[in-house]
Amino acid sequence: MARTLLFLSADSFQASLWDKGVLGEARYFSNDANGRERFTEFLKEHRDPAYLLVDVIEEDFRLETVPHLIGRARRDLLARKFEQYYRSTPFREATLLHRQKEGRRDDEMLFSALTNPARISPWLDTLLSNRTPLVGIYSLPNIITPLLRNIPSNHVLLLSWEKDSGLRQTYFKSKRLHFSRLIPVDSASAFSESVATETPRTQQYLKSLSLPPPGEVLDVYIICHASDRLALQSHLEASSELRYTYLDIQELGKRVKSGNNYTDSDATPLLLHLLAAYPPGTHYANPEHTHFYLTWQLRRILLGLAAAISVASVLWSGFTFWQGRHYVADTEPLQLQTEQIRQQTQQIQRGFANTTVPATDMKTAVLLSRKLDRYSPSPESVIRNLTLVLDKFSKIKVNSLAWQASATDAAPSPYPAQVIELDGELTKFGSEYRKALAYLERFQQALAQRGYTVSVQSLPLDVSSGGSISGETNTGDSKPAQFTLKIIWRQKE
Amino acid sequence: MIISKADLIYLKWGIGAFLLSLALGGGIIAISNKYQETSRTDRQIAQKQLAEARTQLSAAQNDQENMASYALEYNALLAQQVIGDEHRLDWIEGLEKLRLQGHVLDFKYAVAPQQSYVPNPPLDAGNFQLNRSGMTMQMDLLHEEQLLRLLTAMRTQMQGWFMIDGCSLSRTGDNDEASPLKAECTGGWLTMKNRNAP
Repeated sequence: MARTLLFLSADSFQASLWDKGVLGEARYFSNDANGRERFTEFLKEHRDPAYLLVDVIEEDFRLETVPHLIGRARRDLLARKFEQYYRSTPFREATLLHRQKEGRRDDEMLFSALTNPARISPWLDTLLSNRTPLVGIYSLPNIITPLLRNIPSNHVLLLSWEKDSGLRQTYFKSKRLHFSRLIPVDSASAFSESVATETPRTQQYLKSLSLPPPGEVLDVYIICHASDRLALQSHLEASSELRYTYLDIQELGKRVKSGNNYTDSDATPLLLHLLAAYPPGTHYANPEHTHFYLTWQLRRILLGLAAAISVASVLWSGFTFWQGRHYVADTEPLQLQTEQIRQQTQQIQRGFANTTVPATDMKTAVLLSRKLDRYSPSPESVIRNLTLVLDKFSKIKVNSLAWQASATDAAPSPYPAQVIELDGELTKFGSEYRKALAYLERFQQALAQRGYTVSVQSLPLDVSSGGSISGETNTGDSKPAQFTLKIIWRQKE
Repeated sequence: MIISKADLIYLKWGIGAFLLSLALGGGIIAISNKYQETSRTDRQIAQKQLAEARTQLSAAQNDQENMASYALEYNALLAQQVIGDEHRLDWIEGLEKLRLQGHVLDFKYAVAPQQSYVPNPPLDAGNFQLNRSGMTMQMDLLHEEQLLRLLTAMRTQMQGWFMIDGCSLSRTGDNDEASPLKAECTGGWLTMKNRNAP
């Protein structure tokens, strides 16, 4: 996505377009009414999010150890510090360098600010009055950290030359920004001389802060073009405390995937690319400055959501329509088949005998009569087997026999059962109850073999423990051995 | 973040597009869902209709095979006066005829008013109304075979369909008596009336 990159130095202000890793040509705007009017025209033509990179002398850094706080307490603490150090400028930020591992485990913070807001305000006002989506206001030392990624040293003094602002010297301890300084340089030829004269001065200043600690070497990394390297080497001499390394600007560009070709040691295009490609999380802009970027983001989100909803609903409804078509395609042959079967059925029904009674009624009546016939079986079928068994048991005299249809005893047959009650007596047994009972038992078994279900209602003699028995031993006469059986006859399927 | 009126103007196209996509998206999803639901229901109906048509065809084919026997049985039921109104006079004449034939020593009968009949267990009678006129019979018998003969004769010689619910046979006393057995049967004369019949 395209971006507008703005670069503000002590004496100039420039704007470039950045798209897909390639930085366009810089357009300069003078710091007067005419320049700002031209800048307004520029902004009207380019509505992409803008990054403002500031490279000025008036930037202050303060290292401080503060208690580790969170939430509102932390916000209040930072606000107090800002008021204490940088009351006169709205462009201030606090960066957590690291948290101590011992004691109270306090936070080591770097407070920094752009201390001359008047240098930024005219351009910022123009940006805001044109509702430009400003992503943030960055200072050069804040964005340069990604270049340290492959540098192993813990004490690095990184030197870069920006054509419009000068020589930037930034000191990193353990890859964390501690200090930065800008020295104005007039022309490319003075670059190597400035490096040679200013680096020892910066080293002296760092020494006064015991940085790096005694015995350790300060690694000076210089971003330069290959064509300037020889000139630099001729001016610089390494010592036991100072070690120079040259970073080829072209190689650095490739490493950070810049699409530009760098023809001299001016690091401005490289750093602008770095800002667009790897913007840091913190910057000097406050929410009022970035308000239009947030609304721009909100609009993008709304448009993105609209697009996503449209695509999703089109896909969803497309899939649903496709399923619907699939159902329709299934339905048509089914309907055709149904119609054919109906015609076939009608053809068959037309062939039925032409009677006054509909064929269905005729069928119903016949099937109903067949079933009802089984509800009322002939008495022969009910008692025939019973009479055959009785013929074989001549010592049983039947006193009464009754049968009655019963739906409750039907199961498992679907038709009513016939419940037969047989009252009889056993003859010719005298007092031989054991034989009589055995005879009756055989009779029951014979009935069961003929398909009846037999249960005893009463026996000639109740030999169960719950019954009472009486008799006389001095007489040969005995009472009639009467019994009652319940015999169930069921329809066979 | 506070959204001002100017911000809303700036955001109007975004908000509009978002709302429009919601409305249009919801609309086309609703339409497509409706279309899918309707087509699925149509398919289910078509499947059901096909199954019913197959069942009807199967029944028709079955009827085609059985229609000849159905017609014969139906005509027999008509001739037997089972289908239609009851004919009590025929029953009285038939029973009188059986009495004269002397199947049993003597018998008495009593026919009750006709009532609607619901078989137990129940049966689907389709287009027919089942009615039954209850009847009880008391008979004097020499032996039990006479009862069976009488009931067989009622079935084979008389018009109508007498459904026997049950019978009881009991001895009167000594075998020397003229009628040593008494029998009592209950049942009813069944008729099936087509509801569409005049």
